[in-house]
Amino acid sequence: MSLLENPMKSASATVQSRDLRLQWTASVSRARLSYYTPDLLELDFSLGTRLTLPLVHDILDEFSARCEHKTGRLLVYVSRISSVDAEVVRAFSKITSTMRVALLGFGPADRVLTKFFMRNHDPQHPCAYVEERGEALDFLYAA
Amino acid sequence: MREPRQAEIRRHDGERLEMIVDALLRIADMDFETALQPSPRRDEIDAIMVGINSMACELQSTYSTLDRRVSERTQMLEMARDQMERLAFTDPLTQLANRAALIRAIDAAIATLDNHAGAPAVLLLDLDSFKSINDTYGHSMGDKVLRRLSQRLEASVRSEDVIARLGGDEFALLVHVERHAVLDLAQRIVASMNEVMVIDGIYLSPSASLGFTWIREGNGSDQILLEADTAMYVAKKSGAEKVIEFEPFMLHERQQRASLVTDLQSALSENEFLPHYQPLVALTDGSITGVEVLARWQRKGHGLVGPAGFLDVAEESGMIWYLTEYLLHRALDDLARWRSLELVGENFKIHLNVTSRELHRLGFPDLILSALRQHDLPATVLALEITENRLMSSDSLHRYTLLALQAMGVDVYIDDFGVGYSSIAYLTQLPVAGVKIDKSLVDDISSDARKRRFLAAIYGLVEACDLQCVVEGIEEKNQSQELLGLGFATGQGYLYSRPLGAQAFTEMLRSRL
Repeated sequence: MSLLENPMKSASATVQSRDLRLQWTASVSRARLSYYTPDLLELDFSLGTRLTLPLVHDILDEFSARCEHKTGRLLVYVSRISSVDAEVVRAFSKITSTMRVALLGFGPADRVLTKFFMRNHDPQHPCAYVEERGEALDFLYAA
Repeated sequence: MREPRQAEIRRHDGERLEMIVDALLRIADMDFETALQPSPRRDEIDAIMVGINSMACELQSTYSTLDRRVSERTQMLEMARDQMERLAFTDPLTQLANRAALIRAIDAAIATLDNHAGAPAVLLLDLDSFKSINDTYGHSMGDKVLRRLSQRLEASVRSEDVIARLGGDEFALLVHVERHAVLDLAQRIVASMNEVMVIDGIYLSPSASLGFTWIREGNGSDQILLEADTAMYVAKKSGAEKVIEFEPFMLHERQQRASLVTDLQSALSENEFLPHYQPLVALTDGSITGVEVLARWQRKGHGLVGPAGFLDVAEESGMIWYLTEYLLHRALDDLARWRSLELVGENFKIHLNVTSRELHRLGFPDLILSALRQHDLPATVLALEITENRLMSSDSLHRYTLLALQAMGVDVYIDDFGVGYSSIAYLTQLPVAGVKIDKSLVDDISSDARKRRFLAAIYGLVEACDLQCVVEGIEEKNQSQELLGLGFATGQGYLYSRPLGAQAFTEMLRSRL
């Protein structure tokens, strides 16, 4: 299933309650970045992606190259991720320390995956698992 | 025909469950690379797969970290062990091998001894003057001297030879040279150790004594070191020969010496020492003015032993302090008894021999004072005799002791005067009361005019310094007359009496009444 066919993905322009406009998209290895103004970054992955630290660094490098400022909100689609490396789990909290993060999935597999993903996450940094995109945006823009 | 949907789902579930079991079995075999692919359904079975993937990842990371830490720790422990081993076998001051390393090397040489090839030799040396360097310039200078000397040793031998510092100022070498070459090597080593060195602008002349022996089959490292040490000890004592090869008789002498030390220790507790008394007499009328205390040892199995048979061992072993104290109390006890029996007058003096060791002890004046008080005698009854050579090598501590004794009222006499270093000036500087002229200056005085003139000059010198004078070794009447003619007043010698035990001397005093 391609990224565009991901049933969880909504067209950027149709989010009603927030004035989010798709500014750019980019592909990095097995990841797809979509950046919405003013400050929302969405990450999606190819089916069966193993989330490794090199992949995460490639994503960050791509984002830095395109954006001069940091982003305040991050939405990650976890449904196509098959596993997350331990180094990513350990580094996740530090990487996302300045952001509000929503992890969007569905079903028991995604709940298990997210549990491992957020195991070392610093409770000071806002992060939530949701199963609806609307919920994700509500959480991300709650503050 | 297409499989019904439910059946297809069950078959798919079964396949996925098999994959899960397979993955768990591989993980149990420590294969953490397993990666299950969850389906797009993301259902419970997918949840199990995702969980297994995550846990496998964690395990791999944990084991990897653990392996790395264990490896690092093992490496650190090995480095620490190697360093400890180096420290255990290295002298920290000079970085030479230490005693343990030397013994290990000797043991290895013994194990590989080849009777057809030359045997290795063990050389032991120590410095003759190191103590005075430490005492004069401090231990920091002493350490620098040791480091400089260790460099000289390293330059004297080959890299495969072992050089060790055994402690203090003692060094040892294990060398593999031809038999005929070891004496030459030893002499070269001693010569290099004796060369003048300049440290911090100070010129120093260390000197060394060296003994050596061969490694022989049947001898352990302890025995080999004992032999080399014994030879070194002989070299030190000889004064002339600074390089000595071990011979078996030396060990016998050493053992005898050790036996002597043991016997000396029990002799004190068993009152085997006896004071003997030789009178000091007025040359005019032969009256007894005082007495010199001479130590005799009634040694079991050896009879009566004179001081030549034990005094230097007593001094070397440190027992001289106890012996002097013992003799002092015995002599004061006898003097108190003679005074109570009115056998001697108030001016009668006890002359006791002491060594520089005693003068060097801070507690010595207190010992004297305590003994006098214990026997209720004034300090003026006591005169201490110390040889000219030992007094000349004195330092500030000696001077402090001499002044303290002088202040107490105890006289100090320079013994064997006239045959040692004779620096005229010191006679006016040292806090001494008198001199005892050595016997050698008195022999043949009747027939030797030059000796008479020399003695006359000594008398003039001593009188100019306002000192008392006793002449020793008077054996003939004409000697006594000549000395009286030269102005001497007091003498001592076989002419008047040999040294006598307390009882015999008491009888002699009675007979003079």
